[in-house]
Amino acid sequence: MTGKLSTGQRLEIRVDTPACSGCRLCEMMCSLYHEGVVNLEKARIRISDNYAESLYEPHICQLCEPPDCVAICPQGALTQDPETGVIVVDNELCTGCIACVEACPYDAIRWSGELERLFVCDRCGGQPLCIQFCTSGALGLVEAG
Amino acid sequence: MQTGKIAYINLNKKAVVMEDTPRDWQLKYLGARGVNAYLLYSLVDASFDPLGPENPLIFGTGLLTASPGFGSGRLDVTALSPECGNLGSSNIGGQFGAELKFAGFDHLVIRGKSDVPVYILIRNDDIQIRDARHLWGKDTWETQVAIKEENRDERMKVAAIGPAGENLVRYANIMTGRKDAAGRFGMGAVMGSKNVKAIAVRGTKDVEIAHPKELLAYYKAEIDRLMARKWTQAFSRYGTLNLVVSMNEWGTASTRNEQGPPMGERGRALYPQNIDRYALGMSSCFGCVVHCRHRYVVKEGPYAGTRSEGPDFGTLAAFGYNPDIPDFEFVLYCNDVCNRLGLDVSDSGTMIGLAIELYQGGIIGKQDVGRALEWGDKDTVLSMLDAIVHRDGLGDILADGPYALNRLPAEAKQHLALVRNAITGEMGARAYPGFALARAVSTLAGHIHRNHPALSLMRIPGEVFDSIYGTHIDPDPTSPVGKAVVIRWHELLNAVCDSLGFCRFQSAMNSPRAPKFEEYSQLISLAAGLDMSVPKLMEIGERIDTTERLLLGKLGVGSRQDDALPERWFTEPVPHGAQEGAALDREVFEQLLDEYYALRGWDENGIPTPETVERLGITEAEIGDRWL
Repeated sequence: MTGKLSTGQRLEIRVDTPACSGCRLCEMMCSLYHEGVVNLEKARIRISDNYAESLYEPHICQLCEPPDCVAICPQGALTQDPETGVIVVDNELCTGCIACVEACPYDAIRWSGELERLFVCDRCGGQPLCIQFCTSGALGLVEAG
Repeated sequence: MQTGKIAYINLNKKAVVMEDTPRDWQLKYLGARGVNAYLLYSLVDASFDPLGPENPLIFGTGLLTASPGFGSGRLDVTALSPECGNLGSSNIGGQFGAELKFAGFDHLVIRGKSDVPVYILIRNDDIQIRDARHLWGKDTWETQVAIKEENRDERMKVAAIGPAGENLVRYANIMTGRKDAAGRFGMGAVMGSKNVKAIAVRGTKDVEIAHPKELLAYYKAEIDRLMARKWTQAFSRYGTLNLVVSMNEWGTASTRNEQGPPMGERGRALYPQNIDRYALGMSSCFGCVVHCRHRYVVKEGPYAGTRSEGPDFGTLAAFGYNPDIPDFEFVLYCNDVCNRLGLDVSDSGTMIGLAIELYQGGIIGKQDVGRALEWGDKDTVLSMLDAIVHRDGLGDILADGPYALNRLPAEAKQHLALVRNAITGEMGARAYPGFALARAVSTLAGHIHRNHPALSLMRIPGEVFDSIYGTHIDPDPTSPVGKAVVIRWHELLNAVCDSLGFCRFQSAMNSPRAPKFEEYSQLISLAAGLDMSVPKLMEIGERIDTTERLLLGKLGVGSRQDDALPERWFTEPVPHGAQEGAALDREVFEQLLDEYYALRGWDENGIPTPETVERLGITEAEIGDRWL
């Protein structure tokens, strides 16, 4: 799976945090689609529990321009696809310093120590699964224009 | 599909043995409720004390818990019940079951008793028994927060007991999250009797899927179909709260233990739309598209600061309609109080209702209670909740659930509806023979979720019924024709649903078009790679339910004389509402029992015949010395 989208479109994902019901189908389906297993640790979207505020908070790449994660990477392992805005990781170059993880304002990049890999949303090649399975209205595509 | 593990945890020795779940057990019982029942059947005998160290407390995830499914976050907790003295099995949602699966466990079997309070910490294959003296006395929510904080892991999931479980209230729950409960049947008291305050789990393993691409496509189509249905949309908006509208309008929502008239207009204060003022949004169990309850906060008034999730229908019945208190905020508050204390809302409401009725009838007096007990009085309810959880005065007696009758005047007996010594609700059983049969034969004593034929109340064309059940069914719920077939069918479906780790609310309990055996068979094939046809699944359902029936037999409550309903259902007609005047006909009921036993392959005394036991291949598991 690469960061290239078949459509070449930039897909903005709208996150409505209070609407999230915490079902975690987005995390399940993300890992199933990309990795062929259900494992929330291998999802490119993450729901965190804010239990004091009774909130489930989705974290997913917002395709920042310019992206802090790309700028801070000392290895040049991260690049941004100019058409789609998706962050592309070169795992050969990545050393796991997690500077990008710290820099991301949306907590949307994760490092798996177990797998020694970065996880960041690739928009599923154009049809994000997380949105297709979200029935609470927490995730949606921002309409162009 | 990768097989998970079973952990046998011996608290006496603080020792843990882990083994792969035998594939044979999964093929015969799937998981969760099925394997749990098989384990309990194999491990117990009638001499066990439900609150003694020998009683095994068994946690079980379903075959498809954490896989894409129909509300696949479920877990079943099974033990001898201290509330009724026979089978205890409580199904719990939330996030805990899936996390246990991610840690690689299908089942935990906990036995013995720790000498000091402990919690069990599970991180993948690592199981530790930790000191919990500092947590003893904390409520269920404080306990969860404290354990996550001390382990610096926000994603850890915790199932905990509150003061109710510590004080061995016989209907104490195990709670996870703000409101998910292994409720009814006192699993929290069993945990408390073992000095286990909580189980915390964090798992990072894969749940393997046999055919990921095909499963994604199939599941997406099923979810779209499910969410296009009106009943699902109604559930997504107000969950089980929807039920109160028809019950109030038909006059079937009990007030004052059925002694009072229907609430009528006043009852509208408890209608589902009232939650909108307090709701922050919806909340789901793991892997559920329906999200059937609310996250809420009360910002002003006497209950300001109340923050929880829910409530559900049972809470409105227990703290609104039955005590005759049409105050939605009060229900929200009681919901939070019970969840934090780890008290079952339904049984707490029933026991408080009993106390008020006994007081009002002069069967107990001020000298027994220390105060007046009044219908419609919030202080009565709150003071009794406090007394129950601390086992103070009359509360100590009420905390014993059905066993309270041993400590109350003999006249009290007729005021508590019991089946196999468990609290039961009438919910139409006097008017509808099928409902009565369901209550009588449920392996979970008197409980509606083993076999509730709710479809019978929906105006569904007769031919739809006939096609679901495979034979002619009279759609009129007051008719007994075909109802033995109906109850058996729902028993098999629920046994499979529960054992897969799915939610019953997304099964054909709620709609004729909701998922049934066919959809379960597809998901098992795509997710687990197992070939289980519809007839095979029905046979598994029959095996699970029959194993539970044999367990009841082993405990001395598994024959015809135990399939008995409260005498008043036969002799006293419904006093109010749409079913006014209805009473159960004994002859009709006994005939239904005969018909049902014959269908199940049981003898006329309700005992599974040796041929049936052999056909289903039910034997006892060889657990060996895993405890020792």
